[in-house]
Amino acid sequence: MDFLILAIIILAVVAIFQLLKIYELSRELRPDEAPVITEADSRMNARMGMIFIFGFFAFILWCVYKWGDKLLPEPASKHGVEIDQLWDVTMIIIGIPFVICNFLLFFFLNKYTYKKDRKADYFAHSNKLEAIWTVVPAIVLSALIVYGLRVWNDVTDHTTISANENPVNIELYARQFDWTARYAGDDNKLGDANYQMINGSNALGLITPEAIADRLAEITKDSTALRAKLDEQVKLEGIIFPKKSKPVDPHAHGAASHDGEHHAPAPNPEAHAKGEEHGGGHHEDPYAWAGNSKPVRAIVDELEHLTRMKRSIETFAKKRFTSSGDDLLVKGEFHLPVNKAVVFQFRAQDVIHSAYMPHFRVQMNAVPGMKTNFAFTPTITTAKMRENTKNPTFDYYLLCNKICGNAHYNMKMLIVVEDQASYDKWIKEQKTFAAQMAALLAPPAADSTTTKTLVPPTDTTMAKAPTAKPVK
Amino acid sequence: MSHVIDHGHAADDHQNHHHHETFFNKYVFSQDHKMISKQFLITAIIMGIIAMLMSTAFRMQLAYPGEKFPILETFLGKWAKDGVLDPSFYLALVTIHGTIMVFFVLTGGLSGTFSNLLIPLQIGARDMASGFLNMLSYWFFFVSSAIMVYSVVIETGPASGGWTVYPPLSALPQAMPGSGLGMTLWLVSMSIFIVSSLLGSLNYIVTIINLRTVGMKMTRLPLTIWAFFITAILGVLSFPVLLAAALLLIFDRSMGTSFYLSDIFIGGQALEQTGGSPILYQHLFWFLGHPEVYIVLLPALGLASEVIATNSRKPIFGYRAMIASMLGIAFLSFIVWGHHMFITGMNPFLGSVFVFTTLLVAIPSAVKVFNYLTTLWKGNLVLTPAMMFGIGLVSFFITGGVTGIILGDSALDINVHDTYFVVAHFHIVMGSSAIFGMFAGIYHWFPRMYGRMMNKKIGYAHFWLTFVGAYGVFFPQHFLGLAGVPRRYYANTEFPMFDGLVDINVLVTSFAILAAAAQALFLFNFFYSIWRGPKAPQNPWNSNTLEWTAPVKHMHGNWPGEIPHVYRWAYDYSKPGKEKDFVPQNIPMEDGELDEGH
Repeated sequence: MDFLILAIIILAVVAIFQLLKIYELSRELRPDEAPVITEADSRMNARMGMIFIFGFFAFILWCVYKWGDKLLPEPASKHGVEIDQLWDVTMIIIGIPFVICNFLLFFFLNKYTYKKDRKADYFAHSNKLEAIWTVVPAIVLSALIVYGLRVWNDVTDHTTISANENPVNIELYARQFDWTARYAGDDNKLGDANYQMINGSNALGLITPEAIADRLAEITKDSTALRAKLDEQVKLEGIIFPKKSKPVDPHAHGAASHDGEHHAPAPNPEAHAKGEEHGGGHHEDPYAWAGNSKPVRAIVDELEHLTRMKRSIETFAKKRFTSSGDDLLVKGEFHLPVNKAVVFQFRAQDVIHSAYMPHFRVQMNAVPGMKTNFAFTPTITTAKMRENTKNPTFDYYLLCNKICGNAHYNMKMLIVVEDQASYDKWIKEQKTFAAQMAALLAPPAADSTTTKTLVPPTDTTMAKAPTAKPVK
Repeated sequence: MSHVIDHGHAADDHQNHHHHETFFNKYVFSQDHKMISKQFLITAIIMGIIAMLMSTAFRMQLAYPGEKFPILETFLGKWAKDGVLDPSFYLALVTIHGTIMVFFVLTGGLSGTFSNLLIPLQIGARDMASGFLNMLSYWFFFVSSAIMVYSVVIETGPASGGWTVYPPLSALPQAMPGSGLGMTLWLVSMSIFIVSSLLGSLNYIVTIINLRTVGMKMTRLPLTIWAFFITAILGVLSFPVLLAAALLLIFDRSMGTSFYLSDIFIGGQALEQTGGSPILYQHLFWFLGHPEVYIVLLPALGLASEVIATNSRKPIFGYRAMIASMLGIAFLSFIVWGHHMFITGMNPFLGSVFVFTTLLVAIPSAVKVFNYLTTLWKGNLVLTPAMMFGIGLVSFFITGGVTGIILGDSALDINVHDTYFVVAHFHIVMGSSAIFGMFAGIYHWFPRMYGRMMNKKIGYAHFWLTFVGAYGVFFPQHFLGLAGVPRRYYANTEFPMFDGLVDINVLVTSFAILAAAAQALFLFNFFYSIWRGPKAPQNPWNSNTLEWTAPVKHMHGNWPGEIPHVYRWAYDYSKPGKEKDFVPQNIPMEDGELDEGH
C-alpha cells in the first residue's frame, strides 16, 4: 500500500515535470492569436447587467413579501421601540444610496458600453465633486451618530432604572448547555456567589452558611480520599521519605496506616501552601522526595489546590456576605411581570455565553469571571403577543448567542411575560435555594436544620460531575 | 535616484551572466517574484477549494438538518455517521472555513499573489528588495497551510471555536473536542502564518519605498501599488498583536497562566486560574481583526481601481482622493475594533467612542464608491471578464457597506449582533468583494503571469453564475438575521420561532451549490489556459502600467535592457490630443503637454 502511494506520488511529480516541459516548448511553437473583447461582448454583458439589477431589486421585494412576516414581530420592551425607530430611520438612510448606487453602476455599464469610434471623456478630478461627497455623507452620518448615541445611552442606563423603578432583580446563569434564572427573593438582592463553591448541590456556587459547610465538608472528604490515594501510590512506587522531609501530616491515615514496614506519611500540603505565601522567590522543592513520579506529583498538586480552595472559602465565609439562601432558582422557563422594570445580571460558569432575547431587543454576553448587566421593561404579555402575531403558539425565548460548544444550538430558556397577579402566583410556587439545597442534601431521615455541624455528605452528593445534577 | 539607476545596471549584468536555472530553483525554491506569486496563487486556489467544499457541506446540514447524505460519510467518515454531519464537526467546518478564507485565501493568497507579481513590475524594479525573504515568506505560508489542513484530519478534529477562537472555549480542552490538539495546531499554524505575512509585508514596504524606477514618484504610482503599500503597513502594525494574543493563549493552555481565564468551573473541576479576562483576548484579537478586514479588502479595491480605469478607457476619477480615502480607512481601522465587542459588557461609554469612529469609516468608503461611479461615467467601457468582476466588487462593496452602518451603531447592533445579519454583512462586503477583486486580478493579469489568455466566454459564464450565486447566498441571510437566527447554530430546529425559516436556508443552499459548481468553470479555464490558452499579445488590455512593457517570457530581472523610465501617471487614458486612447507611463511628455494627474 505504502509502496503504491509512493509510486503514485513519484509518477505525479514526473508527470508535472513533463507537463511543465511541454508548456515551455509549446509556448515557442504556438502562433499569436490575439484575443479581443468585441463590442458585442461588451453589449451582451451590459444588457445582462440591466437584467441583473432589475432582477436583483425584484428579488429583494420578493424576499420581503415572502418572509417579511417571519421576521421579528414588534418589540416587546420599552427600549425596543426606541431601537426599532432608530432602525427604521437608518434603513431609509442606507436604503437610498444602496438603490441609487447599485442602479447607477449597471446603468452606466449599459449607457457607456464600448464603441470603437467613441472616445471616453478625460475627466480626472474635480475638487468640487469630491467635496460634495465628502461633506454630505459626513453631515448625514453625524446626525445618525448623535441619534444612535442618544438611543444607546437610554438603553444602557441601568442606574436610573435601579434607583427609581424598584425593579425585579434576576440573574441569568449560563453554563454548557443550559440556563438558570435566579430571582432575588425576599430581600430583592441577589446574594453572593463564588465559583469555588460550585458542587453537586450548588450548581451556581451560591453562598449561604449551609452551602459553605457543605462545600468545606466535601473538600475535607476529597482531601482524605486523595491522601489515601497518595499513600497507596507512594507505597506502590516504593518512594522513601528522607529524614529531613517537610513536616508530615499527623492526621494522615488510611491505606498507609495498616502497613507495618514503611510508614509512608503523606505530606501536609497546607503547611506548604502557607510557606509559599510567605516565602516567595527561590526555595527548595518541598516534594523533592517524590522524584519524577508524575502520579504522585499530580496528587500532591490536587491536594494543594483543595487546600487553597478551602482557605479561600474560609476567608470569604468570615467576611460579611449577602446570603443567597432566599434566592429562587428556576430552570426551563422564567416569568416576567409586564410593564415592570427588570435588571438582569449575567454570569457564566465555564465559557462565554450570550443571553439573547430577540423579541425584547436584548443581548448581553455572560463572561466567566465577570458580571454583566442589562435592564429593560417588557411591555407585551405572551398572551397579547399571541394575539398580535395571530400565532396561538407564540413564545418568547432566551437563546445562547455566543458559540459555547457542541450543543450551543440547543441552549435555551422559555420566557413568559404575564400580568402582575399571575406573576405573583407563579413566583410563590418557586423554591428558594436554601430549600432546594436542603432537599438535595438531606438523607431521608436526617435533620436538615443542624447545618452548623458538618454533616458528612452522602455518597450521592459526592458525585464528581455536578453538572449532571439538576438544580430543581 | 542615482541609486535606483545603479541598481538597474547591476541587475542587468547580473542576470545576463547567470542564466542557468534548475527545476528546483525555478519552480520550487524560487526567489523570482513572478514565480513566487504563482506559488501563492496556486496554493490559495487549493485552499479556496477546500474551504468552499467545507461550506457546501455545512450548508447542506443547514438546509436539510438531520437528513442523510451518504456522500458526507464517504468523505468525513466518523464525523458524518450515516451521512448526518456531527454537531462538533459542523463547528469545526465553520471554524476552518472562516480561518482558511480570511487568512489563507484573502490575506496570504490575495496579497501574496498580487503584491508579489505587481510591485516590482509596476514600479519598475528587477525584483523584490529581498528575494530570499520573499521565498521564505512563501514557504512559511506553505507550511502553515499544510499544518492547518492537517489539523482537519486528526482524531479529535480541528479547532472548532469559530475563526475568532475566543477563550475560554478555545483555551480549555474540556470545553469541546476541537480545543485539544486541533486548537494547538491552529495556533502553531497561525503563528507561522503571521511570520510569513510579516516577512512579505516588510519586503513590500521596502521595495515600494526604495526600488521605484526613475520618474516613478509616489504620486505616479498606480493605485494597486498604493493599496498594497497601505495594506503592508497595516499588516506590519497589526499582525504582531495577533501573535501576542496567540502566545498568551498558548501560555494559558499549556503553562497554567491566567491571562484570559478567571473563575472557571468546567468538567467537574474549579480551575485555579483567577484574575484574567476573556475580554482581554477579544481586545487583542480585534485590534488585528479589524485592520485585517482592510488587509483583505484594500488590495482588492486597488486591483479593481486599476482594472476599472483601464477598461473604462478613462483616468480613475480623483486619484488623490482615492489615496486619501485609503489612508483614511487604514487609519480609522485601528481605532474601531471595539464595535465587535459592544455587547461584551464593555463600558457603554467606551462603546459610544467606537460607534463614533466606526461610522466615520463610511465617509472614505462613500468617497471611493462615488469615485468608481464617476470613473465609469462617460467612459468607453470594455467589459472584459476582469472588468465585470471589478464591477461586481463595487456592487458588493455598496450592498455590504451600507449594512455596516447598522452594525456599527451599538444600539442597533444589540439585536443583530452574532446573527446571520452579520454573516450576510461581512460575506458580502469583505468576502465576496475581496474574492471578486481577486478574480478581477486573475483574469486581468493572467496574460502577464502565463503569457496566455483565458477563455472569455467561460469567464463571462463564471462571472454571472458566481455573481448571482453570491447574492443569492448572502442576501437572504439578512432576513435570517432579522428573524433572530444566531450564527454558528448547527440546526435551527430547536426553536419554534425559527420553524418558518427553513425555506430561506434551502434557497441559500441551492445558490451556494450553484456558485460552488460555477467555480469548476474557473478551475478548468485557469488550468487549461496555462498550457493551452491562445498566446497573449504584449499588452492585451492596452494598459498604461509598466508591467505590460516587460517581455512575457520568464526571465529574472523583468526587463532585458535598461529599466524603463517613467514620465507620467498611470491613468492617461483617452487623453485629448493623443491618437491612441492610452499613453503608457514610459512615454515621455510631448512639448507643452500637461501632466493632468497633478
